[in-house]
Amino acid sequence: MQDSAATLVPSTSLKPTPTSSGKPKRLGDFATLCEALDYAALGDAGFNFYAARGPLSATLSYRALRDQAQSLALRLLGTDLKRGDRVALLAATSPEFLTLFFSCQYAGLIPVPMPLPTAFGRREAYIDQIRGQLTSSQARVALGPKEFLPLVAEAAAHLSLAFIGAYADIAGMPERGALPRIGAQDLSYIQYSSGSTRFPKGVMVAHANLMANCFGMNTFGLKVTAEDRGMSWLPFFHDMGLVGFVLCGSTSQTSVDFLATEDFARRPLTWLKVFSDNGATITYAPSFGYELCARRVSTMAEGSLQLDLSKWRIAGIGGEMIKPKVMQAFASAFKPYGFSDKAFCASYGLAETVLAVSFSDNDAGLTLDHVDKNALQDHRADPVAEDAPDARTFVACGRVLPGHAVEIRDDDGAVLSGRAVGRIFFQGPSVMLGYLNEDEATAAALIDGWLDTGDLGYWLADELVIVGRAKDMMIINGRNVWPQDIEWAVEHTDGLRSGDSAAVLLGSGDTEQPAVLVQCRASKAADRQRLAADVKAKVQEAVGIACEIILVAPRSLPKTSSGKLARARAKAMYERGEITALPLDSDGAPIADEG
Amino acid sequence: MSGAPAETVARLIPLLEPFNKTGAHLSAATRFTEDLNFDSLIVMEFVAAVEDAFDISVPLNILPDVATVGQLAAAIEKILGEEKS
Repeated sequence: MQDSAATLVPSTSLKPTPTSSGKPKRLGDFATLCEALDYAALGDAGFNFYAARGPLSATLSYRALRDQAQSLALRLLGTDLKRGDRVALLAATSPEFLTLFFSCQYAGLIPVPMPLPTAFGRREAYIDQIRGQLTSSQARVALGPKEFLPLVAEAAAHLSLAFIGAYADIAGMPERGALPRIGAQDLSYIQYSSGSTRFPKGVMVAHANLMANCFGMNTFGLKVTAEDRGMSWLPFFHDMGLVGFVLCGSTSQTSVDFLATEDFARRPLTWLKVFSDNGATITYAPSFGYELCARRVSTMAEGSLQLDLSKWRIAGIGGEMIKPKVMQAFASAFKPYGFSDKAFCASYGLAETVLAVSFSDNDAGLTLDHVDKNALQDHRADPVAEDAPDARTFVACGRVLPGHAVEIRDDDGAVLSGRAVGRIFFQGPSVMLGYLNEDEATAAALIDGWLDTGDLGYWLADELVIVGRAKDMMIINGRNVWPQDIEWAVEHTDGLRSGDSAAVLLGSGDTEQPAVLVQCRASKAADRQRLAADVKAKVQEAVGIACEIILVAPRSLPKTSSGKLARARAKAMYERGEITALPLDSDGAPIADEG
Repeated sequence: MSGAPAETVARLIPLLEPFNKTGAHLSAATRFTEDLNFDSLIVMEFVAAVEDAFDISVPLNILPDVATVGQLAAAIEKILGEEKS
């Protein structure tokens, strides 16, 4: 939206980059991202940026990207930045961000993509988030669109950054020196998408990790051909947007069309319109992206939308638990426009594996598995009929990328098979180097060459099925929300203290809702009502989601033997009725609290 | 940002009605996050409605400083003023 400085050509004469690059496809068999872009620059493909209502606003061919990035790299190296220094980049969906991201690759600097604000009135929360990432990454420089720089400056107030500036400031600096040689083992970028706001953890991705994952996705997952074209509205600070489209695109010489996330949220159907107009074949979104479109199209007059979705080959779903009903609603809403539900492609992955772990087969649609809810608690996924009263439906997330391995293990580390539910471990060249400056967290995640994903799953023949996140992370509308951040906010409400709350997702699948169990010492209904309202507002302000607030008796939340909060147990006990909610509409006996 | 332009607030309120899931009383003092439970998706849907109604483009960087309907009205006035000049 604020990308006007990009390509200074009137929009009427702009043409998107062609789908065919004109050169033989290579699908990611490069040592480094620099080498991949050098090859893509030989052809005609590239990136295109679309405005909210659909017109093309800027293009950036891989050739132009390479040329500009190399020039900017020399300018960055002309400052006192040294190889390996971190460069924070506010990740606007713009050519400038991408040019700087790639210039860091050529310069041997480490870009750290950071989010933009998207909510009303959450200034403090946004500044906290940026400050956390700047501190954790020890960024020396922060660059972004100039209208956001006051916020960044505020976040960096007590940090010792060498420079905070606009993207364009770098272009005005002199070129100096020569580009260094970048190796496969060098760090490529740092990704914060899986970290909590209060306790950010930066995933360190080396070129070799990135190339292994892109190669796996391009060849095995997406089976990219010269006829393919990508389209995405996913944010560039998130792994699915950055790796899935920017990096898979540039390592496979595929043209990709981008719509800014905030523009998608304003006008979701522009996603499908551009997709259809350009004959794109591959796109990805969390379930809610499909849901927004289905909802929007249902309110439109028949025939008012001109779409041809018959070329749509891969409608990828990732980033959260897949909601089958939502996907079915989308498929029926867009069937009249040529959409086939065979295009749905379920996949699984996380930032710690660059992006992908497993992919379902192309052109196969979703594989649903109905299991007994009660048996799940005993770590078994027993099949039941779809309409059984205790059925819970999961979507199979496909087979593991070649050259990588998955083990599902029980709590004692024994390898499980078949329908036994356990923790998912992953091994292979895509596994991150570790978390930046977090040795303890790295040691906890990387064990004997295996990554503990923290997720729970089971095998359906050779397909991986994800049951949930053991690490407590909550995914709400595609956003990762950490219970620690919610609890931190709750416990900074008057009258509450540390350990008084447990943030959980209640229900399952399509009906999952965020809630906080809060230990309440008040016995008067009016005081309880006030506390619940205060807590709700605090959580809204801090993390931007509406949680159900459930007041419970003091000392009713379970703790582990080491005194840590046991969220999964709190959720189970509440759902079984072993912890009950205090009434808000009647006074209760005062409850003694010695805790 | 006191003294929100009453006329702009009056135009915003009907735009807000479809998004008022909490049944909050709508006035210049209504807070988007605390009173209306707006999350980032609803914010964008609502911003799209505002942009259409006022025929303006609302830049993202103003959002963190806009907590109430009155503040949004003032921001819209400012954008309209800048677009004229």
